[in-house]
Amino acid sequence: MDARSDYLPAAGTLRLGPPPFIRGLPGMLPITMSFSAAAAVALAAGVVLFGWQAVRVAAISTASALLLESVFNALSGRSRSWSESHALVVGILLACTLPPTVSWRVPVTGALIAVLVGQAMSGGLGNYLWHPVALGRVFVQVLYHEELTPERWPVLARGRLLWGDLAMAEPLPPLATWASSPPPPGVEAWTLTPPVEHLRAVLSAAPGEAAPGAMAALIRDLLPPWWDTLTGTAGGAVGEACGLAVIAAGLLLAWRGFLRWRMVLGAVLAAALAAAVLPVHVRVGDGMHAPWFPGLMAADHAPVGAAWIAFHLTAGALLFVVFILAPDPSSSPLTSWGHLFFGAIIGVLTILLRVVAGIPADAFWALLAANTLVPLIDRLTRRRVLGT
Amino acid sequence: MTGGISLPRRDDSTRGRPLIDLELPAELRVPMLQHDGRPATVCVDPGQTVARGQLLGKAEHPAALPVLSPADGRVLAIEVVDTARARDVPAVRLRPESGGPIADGAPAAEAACVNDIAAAAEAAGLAGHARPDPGLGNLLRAAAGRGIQDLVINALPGEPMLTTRELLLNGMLEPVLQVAERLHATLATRHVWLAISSADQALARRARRLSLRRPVRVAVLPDRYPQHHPVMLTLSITGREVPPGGVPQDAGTLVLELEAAVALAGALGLTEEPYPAARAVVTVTGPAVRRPGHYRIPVGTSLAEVLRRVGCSRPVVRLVEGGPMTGIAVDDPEVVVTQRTTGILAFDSTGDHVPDPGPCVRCGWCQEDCPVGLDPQRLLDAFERELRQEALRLHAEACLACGLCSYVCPSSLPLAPAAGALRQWVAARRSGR
Repeated sequence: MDARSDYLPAAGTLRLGPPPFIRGLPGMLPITMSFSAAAAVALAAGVVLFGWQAVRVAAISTASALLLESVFNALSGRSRSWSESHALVVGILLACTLPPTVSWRVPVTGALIAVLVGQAMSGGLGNYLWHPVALGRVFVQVLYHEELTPERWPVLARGRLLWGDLAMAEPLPPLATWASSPPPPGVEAWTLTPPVEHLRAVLSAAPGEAAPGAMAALIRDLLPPWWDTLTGTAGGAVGEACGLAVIAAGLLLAWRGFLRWRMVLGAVLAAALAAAVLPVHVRVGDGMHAPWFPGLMAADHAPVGAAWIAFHLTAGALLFVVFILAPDPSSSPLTSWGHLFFGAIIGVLTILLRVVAGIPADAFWALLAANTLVPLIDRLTRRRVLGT
Repeated sequence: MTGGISLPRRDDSTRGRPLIDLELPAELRVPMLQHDGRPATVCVDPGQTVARGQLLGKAEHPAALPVLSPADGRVLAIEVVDTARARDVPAVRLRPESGGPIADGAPAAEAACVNDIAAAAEAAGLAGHARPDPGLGNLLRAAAGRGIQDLVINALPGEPMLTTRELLLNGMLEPVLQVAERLHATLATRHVWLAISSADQALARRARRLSLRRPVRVAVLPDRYPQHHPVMLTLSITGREVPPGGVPQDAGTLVLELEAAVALAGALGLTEEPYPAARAVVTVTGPAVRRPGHYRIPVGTSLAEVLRRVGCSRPVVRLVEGGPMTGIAVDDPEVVVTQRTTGILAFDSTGDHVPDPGPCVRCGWCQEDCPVGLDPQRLLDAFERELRQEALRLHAEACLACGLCSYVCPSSLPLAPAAGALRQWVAARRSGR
């Protein structure tokens, strides 16, 4: 009988309302925070690889995104609610998709498209069909093609990570790798050929006849090894370059329940399969082309096919799109089977666009295409109600 | 089972606590309706002295259950009370007094057929603990009439925070198995199952050992909410699907809740409790409770009285009868405990914070986790726009009211209430036809 009487409820003062009386997650903030944290992980790797230039791109992009959202909210008479603000995530993610060398125009334009067209004017979080970041990214790809697909791009050299200056760059000597090349004095960064350019070189530098051995040598010598594309030392966009960081960010999202393993499985398997079976058309002289299957090749006891597939999985934006952009709740399917198909579509289309069409920003186009199919996927994979 | 999630068990602060008999309060108000049927007719007069187990209310209607006195005492008045499930129920106000002769317990009946068992359950005034609950006797008779193939004794712990089931099963495993055996023989079921959670492997092993020479099979099921729901048990154990809005009997299965099985064991003279309907075994817990634990509470004790005895450490802002996922928030602490009370939860203001609803972000968690494959977000849409044809098309009546959709929703949308409202509407429409 030690209870204080004022702790006991009086009739009529109790809260009513329907069950449940406990909740799994406290509100909306975790969605925004989870994706911000994931984006920050990818960005942090970019800062290590590219130094303050990565910070510059991220700052411009994030500031423009937040500013544009505020302006839109003010103009459309919406009350500002931080818990519903998605612009922070969009800003960081957009920066992650841009090379560290871009001018200020690129992140500002990208943020404009992503926040205003992709998000605000498409009905906001929960209503947009296309991922705002992918939309902004393909838009700036069209506008600023040269800036986004340079012939060489830089990465800080060994021993100069994080604090080095990207402007003091020299071309990486041919046949040298990043790990085996300590920079000479006065050089803080290397410039490398982007993987896409490597690919173009492989496809166009075919010898007079499609001798498998010669082609295999090209793949072996020209394409960067998979650990360089996975760690980010092959260079790239701020957040995409380091595949390891992207996977870590994806694991963070998976832990919070946003990344579904089926989506990743579908995307990786489909991309690997597509890279394995898709033929590339190589020149065999005199304007003649012949199909050639690099993914199925095993020459001179060297796993050339495996190197080819590993290159496609780790290079470019594929990992970033699959692990960080595709899990976006608003623009991904609802059902488990839907997640699998959605991932598979992204994987196949990315490799198709890359190998067959040779379009830059391939993974983003693939994501947008898969986004477009989401209503259809949802309809086709709807769950059966028990007992019907 | 597809869907469902492993709910965190962080709130199970009462696990492993002993069962404590709550002292008789100064006054009991024994409700005449403790199941989903008709109330019993009061058959005592104010001023009269009654003995424990004596009849307070007679069942004059087939849908009514007799009510026995939970204690020796004197009848003060005939009045009405509220229970969590029903308002203005006739009740007998009783002042417990010690001494006096104890009325004879139920005779240890030689239950040769299911009607004998049903009669014993009915004489003891046992509720069926089913949804809906026609009383245990009626439940058994109806099952025998329809013919069922599988009997499942449901000993899964169910909702978070409620931990009495483990305690009950640990203490009552042998009588429960005996009840299962008798029902198996009299109902002529093909199989009889004891559903146990995989969370307690020691208990599962003991159950397996004890059931070795019996026809009872032990089904160890994952600790995944709402696996304990009768519809989900039917699916997981027998593989048969209950039609939307139906009960397990529609799929040839009778699911008997552990509380009902334990009470039946008492009514059949298999336990030390001669009047199982007189007291409820309840988990009293929640952030505002000073001494959370398992309490045996006389039927007719008010929730306020229970809270006074277990103590409050903080101001109570929400009082729930039942579990945190499907329980009922009561508006008056004078609501009384019935046989069907399994939990009393007292939340303070910090433990009861639900944020305002936000826009749906289409995360898909609600329909991913829905155990029956509904799309709660579309149901909410249909509810808000009053699209009743849409509700029919989406099979709203299949909703189990487990509350998972609301639980997982990051936008705190009222998904479960909307689905519940549509389910009731569809059910009413189907039964009206």
